[in-house]
Amino acid sequence: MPEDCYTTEGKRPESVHSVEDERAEGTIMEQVRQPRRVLAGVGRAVVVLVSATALGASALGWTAYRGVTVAVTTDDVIAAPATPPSREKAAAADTTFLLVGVDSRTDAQGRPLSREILDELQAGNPSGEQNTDTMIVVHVPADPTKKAFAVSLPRDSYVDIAGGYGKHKLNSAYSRAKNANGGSATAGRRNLIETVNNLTGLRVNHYAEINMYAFSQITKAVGGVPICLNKAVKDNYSGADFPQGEQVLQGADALKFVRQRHGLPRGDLDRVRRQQAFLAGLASRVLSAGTLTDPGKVTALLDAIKTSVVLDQNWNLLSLAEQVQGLSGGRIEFHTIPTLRSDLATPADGTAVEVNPKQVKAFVQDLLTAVPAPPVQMRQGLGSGTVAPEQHQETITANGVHCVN
Amino acid sequence: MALAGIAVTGAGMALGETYFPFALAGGCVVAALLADRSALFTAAVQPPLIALAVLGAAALFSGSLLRSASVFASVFPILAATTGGVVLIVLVRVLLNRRKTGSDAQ
Repeated sequence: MPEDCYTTEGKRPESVHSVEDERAEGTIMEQVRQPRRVLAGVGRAVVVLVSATALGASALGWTAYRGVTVAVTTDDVIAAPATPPSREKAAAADTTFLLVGVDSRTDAQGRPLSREILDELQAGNPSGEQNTDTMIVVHVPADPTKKAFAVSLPRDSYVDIAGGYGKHKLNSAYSRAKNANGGSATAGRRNLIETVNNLTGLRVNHYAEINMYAFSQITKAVGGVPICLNKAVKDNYSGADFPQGEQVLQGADALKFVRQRHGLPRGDLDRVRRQQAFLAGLASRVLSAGTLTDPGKVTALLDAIKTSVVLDQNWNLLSLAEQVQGLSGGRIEFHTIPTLRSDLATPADGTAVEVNPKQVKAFVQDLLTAVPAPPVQMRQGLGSGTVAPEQHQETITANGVHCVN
Repeated sequence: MALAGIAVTGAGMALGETYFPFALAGGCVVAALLADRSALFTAAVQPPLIALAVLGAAALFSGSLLRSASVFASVFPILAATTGGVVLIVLVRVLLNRRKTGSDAQ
């Protein structure tokens, strides 16, 4: 005799009810009579509850997932390679992304920042300028046994700008193409990527752009980033005023720290090193268990990122997080491309940093093929002509706090 | 038969996370359609549990909790639809059984 699934356990009742009766009250009556059925019922209720909770958790996750994948501003900046370089076939699954910090006084959607925020950031007046003052190429090999590296490109590097604009400072690649294309930020980003590709010999396949406000918000969201200064500094241009030694910076202070260039022994090159040390600290902070398991911090972090970060169209924060997660600890090293004179006189751009493209490409190739053993000495590759004592600096990695000028 | 869902889903996840949602939906629907009547309850409640179990195992196996969590989050629409579909199939089967039981009793 067939039984329905709700009466499979225990005996059927002696008295046969009509189907309707059984549906209405039969089950309850049976449960009262038979303790085993009650237990089975409780067990089933628990299973249903767990199942429903799992579904609910997935729904919550979905909301957050939509938040990070849809709400983030994206831009169609990565062109499909016309001729895939055969040299990089072996490294096909590697990820190379370009991190760009712009000094724009707008948010990711191009809306101007409020006066209060500008004052808070000591950002001065919005001049309409959009220079990409921080450019870092991060290469994450698909092979987890290989080292990842981040290479800073000093903003004043005097290089050939893609798009036929001739030789200029690297930080103008974005604004030149943007202005020439009726203010299209997309054109600016594409031109910068192309310029970086040409300079480094790498092929950038992801792009992330952050502005000053987002930067400040992100450092607040993670509860500050530990840094260390070799000497106390005070600078009126950026508003930096910090004591010597280890300290935790966030918000506007963090911004001052990474923006200060005046009063440093090597100017922009020291600033580049500060940015590397800061990124290393930020990465270890974000990836620490205390941040990613704290829903409040994660929400604040996502909010900061949503308002002011621009990613390329094929990327999302989850992929970024997954890629960065694998880089925790000492797996990533920060370098700067080799530069020559930092007082190169130029026809139209003032003083720039001299760069030999061949040397840069060779340097990057060395990093690509480097054996996992960490190259400690001379990796900084600064000023091959004049060897100053500061050049024997330790390589910055993402574990621990590194003291900088 | 009811546990076919977890086998299919596990196999799907092993193939790669792209296949996971399809394996999950397919496995659970097949299980709901073919399961023995005594196992209909299991078939009805299992989709979220299977997702959780398979992704939990994947997290332990691959060590990337973030990846598993992101798959669990991204799969929600399919998971919800599958659960809804499976519950519907089970309800229809229960109703058909009752009708049959009812006509047998008369």
